[in-house]
Formats: sequence, C-alpha cells, structure tokens
Amino acid sequence: MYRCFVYNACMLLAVAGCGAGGPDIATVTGKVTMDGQPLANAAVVFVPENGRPAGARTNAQGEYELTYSEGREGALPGKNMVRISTLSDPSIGDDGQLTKGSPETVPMQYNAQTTLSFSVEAGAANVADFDITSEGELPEGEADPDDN
Amino acid sequence: MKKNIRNKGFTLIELLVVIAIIAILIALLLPAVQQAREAARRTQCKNNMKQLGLALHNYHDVYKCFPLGHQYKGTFDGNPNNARGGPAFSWGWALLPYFDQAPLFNQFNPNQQLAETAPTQAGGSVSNVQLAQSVLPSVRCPSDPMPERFSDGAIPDSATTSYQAANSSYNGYGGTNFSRRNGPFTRTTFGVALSLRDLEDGSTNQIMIAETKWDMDGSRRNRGRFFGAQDNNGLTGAQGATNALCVCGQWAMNWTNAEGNPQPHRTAGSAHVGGAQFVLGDGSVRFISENIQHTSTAWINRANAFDAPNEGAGYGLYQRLFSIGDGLAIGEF
Repeated sequence: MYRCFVYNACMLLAVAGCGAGGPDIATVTGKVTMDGQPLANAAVVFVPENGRPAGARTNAQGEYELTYSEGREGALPGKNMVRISTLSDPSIGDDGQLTKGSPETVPMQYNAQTTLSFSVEAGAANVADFDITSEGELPEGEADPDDN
Repeated sequence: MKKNIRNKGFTLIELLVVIAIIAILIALLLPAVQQAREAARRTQCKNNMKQLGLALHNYHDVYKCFPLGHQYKGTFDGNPNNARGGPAFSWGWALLPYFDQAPLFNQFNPNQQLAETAPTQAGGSVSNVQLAQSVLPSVRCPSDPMPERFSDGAIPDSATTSYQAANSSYNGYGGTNFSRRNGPFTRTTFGVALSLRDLEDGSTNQIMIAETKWDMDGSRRNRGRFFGAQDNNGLTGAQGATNALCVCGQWAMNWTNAEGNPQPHRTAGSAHVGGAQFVLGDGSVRFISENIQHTSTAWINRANAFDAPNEGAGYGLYQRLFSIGDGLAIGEF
C-alpha cells in the first residue's frame, strides 16, 4: 500500500506541474459607475502597452473581475489603457433566432478614443474603480448595417 | 489426495497489490491516450489548413492574384452602383477546384446569388442554397465539436467551417477609412484582389487564413461559413455577414464575450489549448500562442493606424501579422 501512496503523490505532482502557462499577472477587480449609477453588462478591457489584453463584463452591481485567458484571472502588470463599452452585436442562439445586440451608451472618450488608464501593480490585489459620466460624443461607425 | 491449498493460490493482499498496480498503470496511461488523440486531431486540422494554403497558391498561379474575401458589390438588389447586392460568394468557394472539389464548384451557378433557391440551370434539380449546405470535412477542425450545418442569414442550414480569412488588424468591415481595413482579404466594394507582391511585409510574415472556434460563448456563435454568406434581406444579394467569412486581429485569440470581447465572432481561436493555427502567406501553417504580443492602441489616433512615429510601439506583433504593408519589423513568433 505504501507503493500506492508514492504513485499517487507522483501523479499529483505531475498534475500540479501542468498548470496554465503564460506570463505573470495580477488580479484586478473593481466597480464601474456612470453618473453615479452602477453600469451593468459593460465590457471592461485593459489593453497593456505590450501583450495580451484582459477583460471582463460588469454584473448588475457594476462589479467586475478581469480574466486574462481561460482559467486565469487578472491582467498584465504595468500601464494599461482602459476601454469601457456597452456595445454588443446581435447574436444567433441555439434555435437559430437572432437576438438583438445592445447599443453603445458610453461616450467615446472611454472606449474608441479612450483617455482612461490604470497602472496594474505586480503581485498585488488591484482595485480599479471607474466613475464616468455620460456627457460626450458616442463613438461613430459601429451602427452601420454593412459593418458586420 | 493430500494437498496444501495455501501454497497453490495467492493471498488477498497479493491480489490487492497486483490490482492496485494495474489500476495505477491504467491511470497513468489514460491521460496520455487523450493527449495523443488531441495531438492527432490538431495535426489533421493543420493538414486541412495546409491544403487551403496550397490551394491559395495554386489559385494564384492561375489568376495571378488571391481570391476576393467576399463578393459584395453587384446588381442583385437592382442597383449596379450600390456598394452591396453582389452574389455573396467567398474566398473559400473560389478555392474549391484547387483542393479536389472541382465537381462541387462546377455545380454552383456564379451568375446567381448564393441564397438563390431556384435551380442553377433550367430543368436542374439543385440550387445554390442547397449546394451551400454541402458539408466538407476538410474545412472543419476535428477538435471543434460544432454542428455540421446551422442557419445563417439568408441561407438556411448553411454548412459551417473552422477556417476564416484575415480581413484586417482592426475591427470593422465597412466604412471608408482604408488604413483601418489593411488585411489581405476584403469585400469587392473596397478593393481589388491582392497578389503575392502586395504582401509587402513578406509572405512569411502575413496571416492569410485563421482558425476559429465555434462556441466562443454559450449564446454567441462564431459564424464561420465556407461558400459565402449574406444577411437575411429578402434575396437582394450580399449585405453584411462578412464576419462569417473573415476575422479581424483587433481582439486577442480565444477571447470570449463574458471576458469583455464585444466581437467574439470576429476573433480567431481554436479548441486546441493555448492558441490557434494560422496559414501564412508562404503556404505554411503555424501554431501561434494566445500570449503573443498584442497591442491595438494605435487606432486611438485614427490618422496613425500603425503608430509609425513611435516605431510601432502601439501596434502589436499579432496586428502586424494581420496587416499588409505596415512597414514594421516582425520578430520571433
């Protein structure tokens, strides 16, 4: 039976060694409010200066937790440009029915022409809250029916 | 008739030990078998893409150019000057004769639109729509458990594919800003078919065809279609649906809607872990990691798509592979 334990221990080690690869990331959570109200179902995207972006969608309370890649929560450390957008395309469900997308309600200074940024600290649990206003021009072009 | 029973058999402990050892060996082997199966599927997918890469070059040998991404401009909506209304055939349809599918290609009638339900010839029994329902195993990744057919726009039960052409390093198929639409495959409306000499960064540094994943999210399908696509607009020719044929480089590979990607169906990805496979301009197929350097910040300044003044600092390696003629150096990938 001792042999059994040795084998199991070896296998556990082997499985643990197969964790998701990739660069070091740091967790980022936060809350998005627009005009003081929580912004639900908005995409929050962190675009680093060099590397894979991280993103998340806000829940009904406007809270989000960034995902880097499948099974990895967080974002690349360093300065990240932040985009916040509620735009989503129509989609086709299992039944083949078209579901309408949601329009953009966030002005372009927070997405297409964003001025938001956040510095993600390595090895820390980052909290990035954004309080934005609905004043400003909406991004153009995406509502074009030919643009799909 | 005296015999010693104890000396003939095994003890319970001995049996248990043997069984335990066998169980451990099987447990060690099973994951390896699963990995070998996935490796085989990945290799088959790579071979499928290699055939498309070779087909691209054979097509180029004949016509001295690559096929059009989406046959978009035309007359089926009644206006020859309209930007849309074309027959809606794709680059994939044009390649059919170059990977042993000439009989299927010859059945299509390119003078009708793809969504036409009338027979392709007078007295014929098959229509373009029925042909667009033909399932080709060689344009499907065996790792991706997607349906063989799925209704899309004007084409019911349209045959699906895992492979889509490279449209641009930035999101968007329409509009008039040409620096935003900078890839090798586009709509007829926005340009002529390209040839090898247009791949100014070198054909080895150019993504031509990308792998895509069907189920990027529970409800948001990747639209991948092979023969062509058009939105449901009452059979008046091509309108929209280019995202069923071509993908963009704006969004990172395998990035889902729940993770904040607004356009998962315009995004490359795969069912293989950690990245996706791509056909490059020289016909080779490469697996590229999803952690590839990726920065599409240059588009913030719309006059400066490739961030040339900063030597491309805001324009990532993944984007450089998607765009032709960005003039920026490409390192290891």
